[in-house]
Amino acid sequence: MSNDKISVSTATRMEDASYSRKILAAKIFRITICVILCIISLFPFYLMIINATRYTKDIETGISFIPSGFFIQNWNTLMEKSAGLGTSLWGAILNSAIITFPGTILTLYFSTMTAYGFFAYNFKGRKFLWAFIMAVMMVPGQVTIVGFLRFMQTLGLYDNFLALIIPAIAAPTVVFFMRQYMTGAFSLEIVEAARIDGANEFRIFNTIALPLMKPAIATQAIFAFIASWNNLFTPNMLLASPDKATLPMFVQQMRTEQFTIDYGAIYIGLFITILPLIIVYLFLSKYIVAGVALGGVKD
Amino acid sequence: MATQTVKKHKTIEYGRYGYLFIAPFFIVYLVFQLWPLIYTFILSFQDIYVKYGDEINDGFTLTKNYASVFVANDGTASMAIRTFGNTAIIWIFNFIPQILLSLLLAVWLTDTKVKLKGAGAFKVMVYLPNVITAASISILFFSMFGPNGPLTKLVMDLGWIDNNRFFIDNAAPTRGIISFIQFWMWYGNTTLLLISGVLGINPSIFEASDIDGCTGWQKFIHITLPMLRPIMLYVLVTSLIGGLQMYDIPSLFNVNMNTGRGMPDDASTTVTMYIRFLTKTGNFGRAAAVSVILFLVTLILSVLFFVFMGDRDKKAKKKG
Amino acid sequence: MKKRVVCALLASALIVAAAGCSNNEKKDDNKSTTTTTAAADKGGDSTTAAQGGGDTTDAPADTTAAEEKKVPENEVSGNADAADAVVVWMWNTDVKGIIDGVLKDVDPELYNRIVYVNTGGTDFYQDKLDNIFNDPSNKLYPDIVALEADYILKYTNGSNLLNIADLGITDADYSKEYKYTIDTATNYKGELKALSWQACPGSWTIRASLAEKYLGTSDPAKVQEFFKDWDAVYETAKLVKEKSNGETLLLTGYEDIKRVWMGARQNGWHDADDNLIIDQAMLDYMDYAKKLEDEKLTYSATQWGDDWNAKKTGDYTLALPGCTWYTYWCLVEENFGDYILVDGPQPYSWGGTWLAATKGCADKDAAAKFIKYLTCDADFMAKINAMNSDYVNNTDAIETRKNEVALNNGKAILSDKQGSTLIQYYMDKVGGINGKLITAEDSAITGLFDTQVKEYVAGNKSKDDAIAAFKKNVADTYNYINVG
Repeated sequence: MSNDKISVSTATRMEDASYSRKILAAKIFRITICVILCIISLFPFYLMIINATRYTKDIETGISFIPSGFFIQNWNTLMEKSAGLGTSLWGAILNSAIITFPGTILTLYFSTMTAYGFFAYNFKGRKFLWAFIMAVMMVPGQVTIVGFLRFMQTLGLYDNFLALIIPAIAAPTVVFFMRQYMTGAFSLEIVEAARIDGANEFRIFNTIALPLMKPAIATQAIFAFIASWNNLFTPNMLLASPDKATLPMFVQQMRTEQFTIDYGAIYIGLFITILPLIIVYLFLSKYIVAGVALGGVKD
Repeated sequence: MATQTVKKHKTIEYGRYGYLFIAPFFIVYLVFQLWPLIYTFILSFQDIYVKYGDEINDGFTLTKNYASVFVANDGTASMAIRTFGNTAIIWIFNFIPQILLSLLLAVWLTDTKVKLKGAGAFKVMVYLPNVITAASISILFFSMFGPNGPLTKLVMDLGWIDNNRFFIDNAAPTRGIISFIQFWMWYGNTTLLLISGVLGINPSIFEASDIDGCTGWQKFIHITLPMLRPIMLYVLVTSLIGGLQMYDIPSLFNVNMNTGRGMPDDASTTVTMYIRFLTKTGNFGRAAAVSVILFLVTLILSVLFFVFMGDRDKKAKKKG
Repeated sequence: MKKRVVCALLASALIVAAAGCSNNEKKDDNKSTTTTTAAADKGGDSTTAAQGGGDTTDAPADTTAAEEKKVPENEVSGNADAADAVVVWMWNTDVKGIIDGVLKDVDPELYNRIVYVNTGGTDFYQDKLDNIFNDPSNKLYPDIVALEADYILKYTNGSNLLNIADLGITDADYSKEYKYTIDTATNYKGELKALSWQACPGSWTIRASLAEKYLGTSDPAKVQEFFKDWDAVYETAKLVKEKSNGETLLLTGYEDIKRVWMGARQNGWHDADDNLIIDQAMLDYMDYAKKLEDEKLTYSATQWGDDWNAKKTGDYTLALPGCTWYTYWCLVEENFGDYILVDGPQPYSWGGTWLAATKGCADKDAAAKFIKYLTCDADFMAKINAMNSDYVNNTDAIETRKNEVALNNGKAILSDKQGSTLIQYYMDKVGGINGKLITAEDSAITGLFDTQVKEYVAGNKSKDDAIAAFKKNVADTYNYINVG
């Protein structure tokens, strides 16, 4: 027995040295892979920024990692060419903002409200209605688009931003997330207490429940905003007027033949379109990364 | 005391408020999503198309639209079937490497023995592509792999290809790049989900396995993987549903701008691109029929998801 | 930590970029002259385009002007809220050029009422028209729309346009127009719904200096011998490649000759009973294209693509099959004065733009007036030609302008060796155009055909398979077309 013990401990000691070498080797290997992945994630954006500063003819001759001096000229070309698109770059950003901001606010307010309705009240059909929300959660908007398009034409909401804003009130995934969050972080006793103080139900929701939900709202706000800001399919189907193009629709036009010959302008256009998102991301990445794990938002 | 009497009533007394709170959601949902869905069903049984710029409605048809979704005029598989196939191929080549890499990264980033510094920064960087407008990303990649793109030039200079139209004139590279973009945009997201899954595994299980002398590989196969199954299923189903709707990337990558269909020879036309094409050419009845088929496929997957979610809830309850 | 890392990476990229900016200001000026030419974009789409010179006249002669040029905030110009607004829709600045360049002086009152909607590129134009036609209450609902040859019949056959007769425009008004432009815009019921201000006969544009070098002559009549039929064109392609050691090729890509072959058809894509017709000319075109590509006699560029634009510059390409608008729209400035026009193997036409009034047109008189100015009024049309060298659709106007040298940015486009003006060259070509070769579905059907030709040329499909796939796709897109 004692022999065994000794041999085990020497073995452990010997292993220790090789073990820590192994750990080090593993560490170096893993870090290398991770660094490569980071480079792959950022490289296209880097290339885009570099090319935004290069002369179109130079871009065509090959790859470069050093910026050149054509940023301003490319910018001018972009402005000149995008002038023919019906919506200017700034117009497109404005249109996107007009749709995205109210849409996001509606999504958050009404989703929290709906979740609260399911959470705080016991009413007939509650289980069934909740099951309904769960069931429709995964139904993508794309499959209803033909009916939606024609229905909007009937309603006279075709080519109208409202057709893109109002539906934001009903966002099943956000409702689902909000209720999950409430279950974990919200106590009905506070509501009871407020009722004793004589507050009416909507006041309780607005002044007590909403503030308590801030962390969840913040996370969902980011995702709802990004999803709406980046949406191409629905606006593309629903908007007709040339001056109503959203930012992704503006981007889409850079794929048309007016731009194909001017890479410098394309790169700078892409750069401008993604810049707001990169800035938002830089400031909120902590919450975004944390929020992904929380909600599993994916559509 | 009025308040006291109120207090005595349980939440059930306030039940009617529940309806008020959930009413806006349901009204908007019914009007803007459920009715359009039903309406799409109805349209799929109507022979509606546009001829010479005018819409023609030849009335109810049980089979015409659906038949054309499955079989082309010459008896071969239809374009719709092809687009489902394209979508599936592009999705598979995005998903398999994505889940494998994400698993690897999730294990690495949660490994307490080999701690990696800067894991937080890493997560932020690999997740970045996911927040950027897909339309911009698609055009960015097209600019890089187009006939005059910098990466095309680079690969040509290396002598790997001899034709500057290699990436856009061949089906495999075009699909491959679209798969890669999807992979590139989503593996960060999947990694984060799997990390939260791994962190959710009770550490004592790992400790016990350490005492039993399990190797890292054994732990991965016998503990991590089985415990991650629910979250992996979730990732799989959401990715599959998202993948079926794939539009932004392929619709701006290698397409014929005149028809909006994927090149070369429809190799990169996805289902939603095809629905868009059908509405664009006025084939509303058939567009609706393809949508319904897409919906049914999605529904089956949703049911799977629902069943699985129920499972997980039950398990969670048992644990608690 | 993480935030800072990303920040630092992106910021450094930005800073480097910005620094680079200030470094190379000088280089800027040298190179930008060439960009202007490349950037003189065409604005038509892959299957057509009839462009006028809106952009051409706007395009500044020198780069400094380009940089100072005031860029409009939004391309919907004019006051759309005005009660008497006349809304004109087009996909580029072509008609806008005419409005600003000619209408402004001729009829300032009408000019002030015009709201010009430039939808930007033909790629989405039909989409946008279809959508806006469904939305008559929209303040940007068009009174007048511009329509291109590839899809004009889709709209003239439909119910969204007014008859020209209903606008009070009579046969006498358009009696000086070329007949084919009338034929094209007449629908299957025999109603005329649109008129055009331009005629678009085709020709082969040849680089005189390269012809001199490789063909031994730059005399148009002698050069024509090298292009007199398709066999001759093929031999010429081989000759050019051989003599130049591949430095110069005959064509940018096989697609450049597609329009020429389409002009040789006997029939459009389908007959009156909606039966698909694949004309022998199109079948021959497939084989001819494959022959050119197999022997690498072109650069394989896609028409309107970046490669195509690139290969028109320098001394890459000897022949550019074009047409009237192509001559001043697509040719590159650096080679102005070195182009001659020859007939090529067969007559053809390419594109053209028509104007039509919509069903919901708010002021028929104003619309009629506008259309009449641009398409019937000889004085007005002569002014269009003076402005942008467009080959206008009016024999009287052509007669008065026939001795003028076609200019672009103040430079003569054609070489002295041509021996005639652009108008004189084209004058006897217009009569040979068949206006009945187009169908309502041309734009999509030709697009579907192109895709399969490409598959055949690339060797991915046999000719039969390519044709079968084409038929299948046509049937899939247009249920009512019988593909047999």
